[in-house]
Amino acid sequence: MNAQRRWRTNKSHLLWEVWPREAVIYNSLSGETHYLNHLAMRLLQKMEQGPISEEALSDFIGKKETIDDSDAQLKQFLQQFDQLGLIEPAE
Amino acid sequence: MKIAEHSRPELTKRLASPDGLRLEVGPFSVRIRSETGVFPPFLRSLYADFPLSSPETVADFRIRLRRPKTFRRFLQPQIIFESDGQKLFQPFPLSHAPPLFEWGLNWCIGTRAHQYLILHAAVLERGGRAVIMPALPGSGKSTLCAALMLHGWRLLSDEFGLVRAEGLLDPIPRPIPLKNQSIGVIRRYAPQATLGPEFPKTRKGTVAHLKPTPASVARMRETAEPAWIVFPRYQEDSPARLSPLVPSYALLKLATNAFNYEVLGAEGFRRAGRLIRRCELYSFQYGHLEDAMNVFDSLPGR
Repeated sequence: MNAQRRWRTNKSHLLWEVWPREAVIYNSLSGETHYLNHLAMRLLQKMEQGPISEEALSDFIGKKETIDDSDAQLKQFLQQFDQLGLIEPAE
Repeated sequence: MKIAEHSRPELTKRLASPDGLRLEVGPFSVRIRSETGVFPPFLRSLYADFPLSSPETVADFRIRLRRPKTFRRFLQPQIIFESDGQKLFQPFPLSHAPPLFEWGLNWCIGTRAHQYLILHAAVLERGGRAVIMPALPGSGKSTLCAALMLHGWRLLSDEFGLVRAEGLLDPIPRPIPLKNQSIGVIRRYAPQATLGPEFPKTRKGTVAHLKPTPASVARMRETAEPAWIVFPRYQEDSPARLSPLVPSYALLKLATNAFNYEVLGAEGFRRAGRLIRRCELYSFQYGHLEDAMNVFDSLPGR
């Protein structure tokens, strides 16, 4: 994990349908539709609020969720989000 | 004038003329030309209650059933489906002109009517509220749809859920293609129902078309409010069971099952999302039509 690296969503290209514990989003850049479980939804919603560092995201997960090896999971989520064009590095 | 008010020779003559015959089907006007004597009796029987539009009406789809001019016409006669002069499919045996017309018209609608989000689903209405039944393989959708129509529901479509921008559903009631065992099931369920001839050895097995009820055709310009989305699944001898469905699952299933979700892009997602929010969502397993009718008679509403 690169603690200082900051990420943001491609906000203007994402459409959301949100329910209490899950969401489905449409990425107008790729034309793809994705299912988000609770954790993925919370992370992406956090990044929608503005650029945020990986360290801050890790803290956010730690406070909100009880999960094992949260940093490894965060890294995996960020990789997937990036590959799907849902997020981009914030310079 | 309705199709049934024209004699068979009149229909044959109009179909063979360069202007063809203009059929009103739901929101569409379809110009049909046909050079085969197989087609007019099918049209007159299964589309009896449908109105014809005037020759001045601009047709949404221009269809021609044409016999190829090859030597084969003398041995194994065939029929070609053309839309705007383009041959769309491999030729069918001449006797299969009616199912070729039905499938060809489906193709025209599914690939061109992009003013709608086009769901691959049966849609029926009762009491002003519509149920959408998306088609998944083995779902028994057409059989269930046919039985519901014969049970008093208004048929909007067996094939297309036409979702307008504001979310209402446009009807396009057409003959319901029953396949294989479903033909006998519906004959036993409603012996009075009008079924067309059986077409054996099509790509989907034996097909016979069930005539839409006159009430469904008479109200084919009346939109309906979506109220339920039900994913049916037939399982032999299973008791009828209605189970609530998770919205995210229903949205993904609905979207991936639509004909033009990708074409509409973000607008397709918005329409599918709004539809999910305004409907009750269920999966439905059934083994007997009578049980299924009882469940649909008392679908829980908001």
